[in-house]
Amino acid sequence: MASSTRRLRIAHLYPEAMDLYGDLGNVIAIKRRCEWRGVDVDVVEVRVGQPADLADCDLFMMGGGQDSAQAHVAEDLVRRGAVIRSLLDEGAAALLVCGGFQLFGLDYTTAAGETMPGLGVFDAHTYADAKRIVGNVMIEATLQRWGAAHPQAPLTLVGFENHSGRTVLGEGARPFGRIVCGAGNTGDGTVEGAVYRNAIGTYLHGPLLPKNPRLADHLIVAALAHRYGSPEPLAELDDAVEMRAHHTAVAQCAAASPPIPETKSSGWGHPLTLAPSRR
Amino acid sequence: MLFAALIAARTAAASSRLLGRGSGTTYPGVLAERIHPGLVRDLSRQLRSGPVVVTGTNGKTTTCKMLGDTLAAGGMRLVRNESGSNLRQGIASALAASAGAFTGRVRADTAILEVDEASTASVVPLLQPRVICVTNLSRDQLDRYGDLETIGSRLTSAIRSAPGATLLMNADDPLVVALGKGHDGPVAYFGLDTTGLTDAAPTRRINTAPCPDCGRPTALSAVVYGHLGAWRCDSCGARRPAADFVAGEIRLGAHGSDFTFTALGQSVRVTLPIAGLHNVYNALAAGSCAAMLGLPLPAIAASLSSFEPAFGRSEALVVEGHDVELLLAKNPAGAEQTITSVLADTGPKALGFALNDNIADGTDVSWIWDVDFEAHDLSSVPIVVSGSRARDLALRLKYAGKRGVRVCEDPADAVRILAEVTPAGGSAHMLATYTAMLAIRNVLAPAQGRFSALGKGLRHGLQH
Repeated sequence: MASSTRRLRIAHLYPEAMDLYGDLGNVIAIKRRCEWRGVDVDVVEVRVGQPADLADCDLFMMGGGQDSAQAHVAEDLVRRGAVIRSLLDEGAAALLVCGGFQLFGLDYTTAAGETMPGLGVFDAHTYADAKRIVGNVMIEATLQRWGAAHPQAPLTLVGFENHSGRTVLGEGARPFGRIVCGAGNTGDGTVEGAVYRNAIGTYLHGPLLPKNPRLADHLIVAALAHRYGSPEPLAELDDAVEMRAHHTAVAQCAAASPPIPETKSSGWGHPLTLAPSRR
Repeated sequence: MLFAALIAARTAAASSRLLGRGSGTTYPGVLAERIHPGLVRDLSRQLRSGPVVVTGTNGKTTTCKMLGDTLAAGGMRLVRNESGSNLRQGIASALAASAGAFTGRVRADTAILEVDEASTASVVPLLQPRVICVTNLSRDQLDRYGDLETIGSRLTSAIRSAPGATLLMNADDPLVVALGKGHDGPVAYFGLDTTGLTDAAPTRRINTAPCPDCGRPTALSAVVYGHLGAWRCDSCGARRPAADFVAGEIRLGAHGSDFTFTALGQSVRVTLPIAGLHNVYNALAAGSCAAMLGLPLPAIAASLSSFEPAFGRSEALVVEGHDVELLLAKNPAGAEQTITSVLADTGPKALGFALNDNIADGTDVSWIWDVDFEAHDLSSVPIVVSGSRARDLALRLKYAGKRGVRVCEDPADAVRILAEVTPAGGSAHMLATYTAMLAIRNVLAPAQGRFSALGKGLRHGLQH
């Protein structure tokens, strides 16, 4: 397949209401890294109450927002639930950060005790807690082949968490990663985020993708596989600038809290595998 | 007890100055309030024109400086707190310093007090201000306060505690307008008329804010920046309130702006000597407040037109024979305004950015991704990035399509490099976060014989 003919369609969910902590950078990163490889990207911006054609989307992206915005967004998102869920079941990719992660779970209970239903993509309940969790995070992501017995080599990711929500994963949910430094889903320092097929829910802002280019490429490969049927490796890019910022953040985390002894390998250079497309 | 408290405050201030430990703005207040817990209430009650509180996320310092200078020029005697002393102790210190130790009398007509958003809930009930001015609620030091809603709820409880105050609110900011809902006293609004500003105005990256009436996202028919502008709610029909004080016919320049200030049925032209639309807001807030306190419009315009910026907001250094302008940038709205005004002058130039992530800067640096670097043509501008998160800046600029960005983590060295790469006859501008700015000054300013003043600013700044 000639690279010039490849294209991707991204749904950017609620760009204005859900971009409190620079998560727009994730969309910028995907666009640029596609552009540098000759992949055409077209972005559908989804707004509350406005029509948007999601049927042909390969990648969903959503960031975090304030509680008040979240209620209206939740309502609107649930209305679009069927089409989004069926695309994710087919292997479409998603990066859902903070509020996005929460609303793709089963439900979200505000500090006032109000429960709003989510999309139910992740088997996870979220409730608001009085204490906010704020700080640098490093995780080892455990992306793996859907249903495969052996996890791939872990991928070290860095970000910044800032959430009062506590997300409790159900039996059927797989965490996105293991916390190396930081608080994670419930604040107990064990696990971070959730994964369903090629959809990733996480609390990691930063923004996440620019400093973790391997994860950005993982999402691009998954999204292309959703469109074209089989995953194909991407052309290598010079990621020196990205990795310097990545290593600065790793060093900061290490300085802030001595990391738990690491399992072998950083995961760089290992291709990540994808959930197979059902198309 | 008031007497003992004032003597103690006086002594503490004098000794901390003698010992060179700061300018004595925190400890005297702590001590005086411990001796006389009713200090703030008792002293502020004596102010003939009542205290004025200025709060909000951006523009407090500049607004207070503009307002204070204007009122002082009009002959009013003022209590003022210095920027960086805007927490409760700093306010207590400022009031204590203004009172005669033996008489306990405050020698001022009014107090112009910059109050940190987070401190309003504890300070406002004691002050019972005559005017509470809220500049805006933008995203500032997110990690310090959680998010805007937390700040909003603190401000709401502060305003509830002062039912007699007149509110002076930014009409263009739905989050600010929401704070005034249900207030018993008068509410006045200021706002921009941006007609004709379309081409000169800065980039428009929009963040919607919830409607003050129904909470649904608002739409903007004219955007000033961020979520500020002529907003409306398509769900419930609420819209931006009519402004009592307006800045219109705005013209933005590289070194200043001019606009028509309309208040109380009169208009006057203001020529503001500092650039940026955010400073038009600051001048409008200050001018509105001065007009409410009874100053004539021509006097207000004259004072604003001769304004000198507050210490540290913008200043010039001479490095390697080049003038380098040092500019504070700590959040996306401010940084974007600053970049836009720097680029309004189309002459050759070099740009620097210094990003630290200490607590005083904000440990979350993600905001640099909300600065719309993509919208500016920087292709012919040499760029130097610096600070503890210089690598993040380099990455941000790479994704904004900028090439040849130089990285130098030490901010003072970066300024020297910036001076070297500045084209002949061009200008150099360094945008820096708080502690990066202090680091630059600390190294580069003493050589220029400004040590004492700058050293004071440095210590003072670290008292947060």
